[in-house]
Amino acid sequence: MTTIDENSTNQETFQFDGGGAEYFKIWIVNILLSILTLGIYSAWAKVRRKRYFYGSTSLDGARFEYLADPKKILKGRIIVFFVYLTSQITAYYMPLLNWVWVVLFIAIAPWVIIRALKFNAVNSSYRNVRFNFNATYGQALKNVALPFLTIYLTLGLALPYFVFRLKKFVIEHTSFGTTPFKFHGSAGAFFKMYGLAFLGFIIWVAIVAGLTMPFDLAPLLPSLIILGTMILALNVQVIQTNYIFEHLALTDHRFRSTLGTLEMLGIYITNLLAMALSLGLMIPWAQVRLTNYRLRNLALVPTGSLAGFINNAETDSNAFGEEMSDFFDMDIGL
Amino acid sequence: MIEFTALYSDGESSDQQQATVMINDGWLVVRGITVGVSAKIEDLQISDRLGNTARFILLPNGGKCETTDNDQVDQMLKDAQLGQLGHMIHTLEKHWQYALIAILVVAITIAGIIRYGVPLAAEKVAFGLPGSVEQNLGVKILSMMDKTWFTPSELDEETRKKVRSKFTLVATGTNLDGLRLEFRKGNAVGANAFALPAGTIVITDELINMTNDYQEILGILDHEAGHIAHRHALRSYLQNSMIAMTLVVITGDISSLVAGIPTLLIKSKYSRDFEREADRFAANLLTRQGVKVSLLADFLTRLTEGKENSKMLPYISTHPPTTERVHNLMAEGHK
Repeated sequence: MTTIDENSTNQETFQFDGGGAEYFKIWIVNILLSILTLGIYSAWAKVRRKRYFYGSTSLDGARFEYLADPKKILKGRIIVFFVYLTSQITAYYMPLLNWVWVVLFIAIAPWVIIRALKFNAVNSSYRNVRFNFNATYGQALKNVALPFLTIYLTLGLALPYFVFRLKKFVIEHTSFGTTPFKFHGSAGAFFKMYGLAFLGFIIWVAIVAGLTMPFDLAPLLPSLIILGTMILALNVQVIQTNYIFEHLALTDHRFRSTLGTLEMLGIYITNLLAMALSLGLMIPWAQVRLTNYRLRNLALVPTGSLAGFINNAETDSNAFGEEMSDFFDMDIGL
Repeated sequence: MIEFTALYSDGESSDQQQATVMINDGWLVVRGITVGVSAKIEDLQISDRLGNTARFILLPNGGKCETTDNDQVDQMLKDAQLGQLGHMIHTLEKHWQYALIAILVVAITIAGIIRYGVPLAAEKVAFGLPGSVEQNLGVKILSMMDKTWFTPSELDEETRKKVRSKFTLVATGTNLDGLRLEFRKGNAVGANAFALPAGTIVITDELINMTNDYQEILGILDHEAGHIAHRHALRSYLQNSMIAMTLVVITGDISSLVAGIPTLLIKSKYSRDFEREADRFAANLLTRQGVKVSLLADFLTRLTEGKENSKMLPYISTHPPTTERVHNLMAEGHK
């Protein structure tokens, strides 16, 4: 396994040249047309949004492209809408059906996740080579659903193990063209990350309790605990993302991720303030700012040229999985 | 003559090369170090313009040109009379005047939907649904409340008889179908009264014990009857569901944390509107029953004494401020 030379200057940082002002105009017209068409345009709006962010991202001088067909996304959305409506109505008249729907939902969840990952991958391209995602329902069950169950069996202690298995599954079934990604990470690293965060949580609760209770400031306790938890969670996300990218490989090409918790916290807080004070109008600027930061801190450490990756011929015409995972907020990604 | 530079990749592999693209007589010609292809413009798939992001031109042979020279590509499309719809949308997205108009239209539409559209739709649906729907809901809600908070009432039979006699006054005075009275011990919910779909009014022992006069209980029952008459419980449920769905449809891409706050504000406003409507109903009914509205107003003041401190934000409160309620009750009662 090749290790990254810490002092290597041979790296290609991702570039993002999207702008808040430019995106704002696209964003507001998206909303306007979605309202005027009673939601139908929202499929086109989603594609435009993703195309803008993809198209503003470049690596080594070439940009990314999002290729999804809005009509397929619309179809997917309509189907999801009717499935949801049907489940609500039938469950109302026959409450026992509620359990059937829940079981059904849990059973098809792995399939939905695979379909969503496939749709997104196949509709993303770089230098006219599409990404791909290949996994069977059985593989999802074994690599994701089973580890997920262990969380319940161990009262939460197995969470780091589940996250490790999930990321490994997503990464190693994703490919650029016909070349699969590899993940060189270990479960132990995840246990360390989450373990330290949990320790931090306990220490934080102890400190805050010690500072508030003797001085009769107990009502402040829940808010302070929540605040500390959110910051710790953000810290875990940052460490985890950096770790994942540093242990990601595409043949001999490696990655470098330099996200920082304090910087991200600053961005999130100022973004939230701006969005709240502007009654939502600053949302596009906030999104551009966050994306800019994330991409500026991601780099490819290439070994050789980026040419030579063979394309795959697969396209994907079924957006049901993608829209279902979108609707139920089942976003699985890096 | 239209000409621009582009990056060409053939679609077989990720090899990419600099190329020159020329438009000639309805044909697109690509020339690079190892590429020389051409295609008819109508056989091309050209991405719509999106701000100043790169444009992608897909050739029939699977090759793709990536260029940042949007103006030249636009000219090519214009000459071939293609892509008019995409051009129109880009024009909307390009100029600040359209963006400002869009902000205005969106803001007015959203405000209109929240203020008028959703309440109106919920009202029509609530009064149009068959009674069985309400009955079902009412039964479900009561059993949920019994499971979660309530225990059987501990009032003595005499108190119950007196409260029931006041309830009979309300039933005959309003002629509402399905009106029923249920006694419960509130426990965690304390001194409270609820109006459930299909006509069940639940009143807690704690609330009855706070009253000094059975006429005050009449006032409370009148207020709850107002909720029943206007089908507030069902309308509230419908409105909240509609608002949630509307926000999701419109904004699609905001995180749920950001969307949760406006939803909370809207739900609270709807709740306060319903309380005002029930208060108006109660004031009118009390007057018809020959009871002074001030009885209810004074009771409300007594009930909330010391509980409403300045810390409670008016925007997330489910009831209007008591001073406003007292004022409106008296004004309505004097009509």
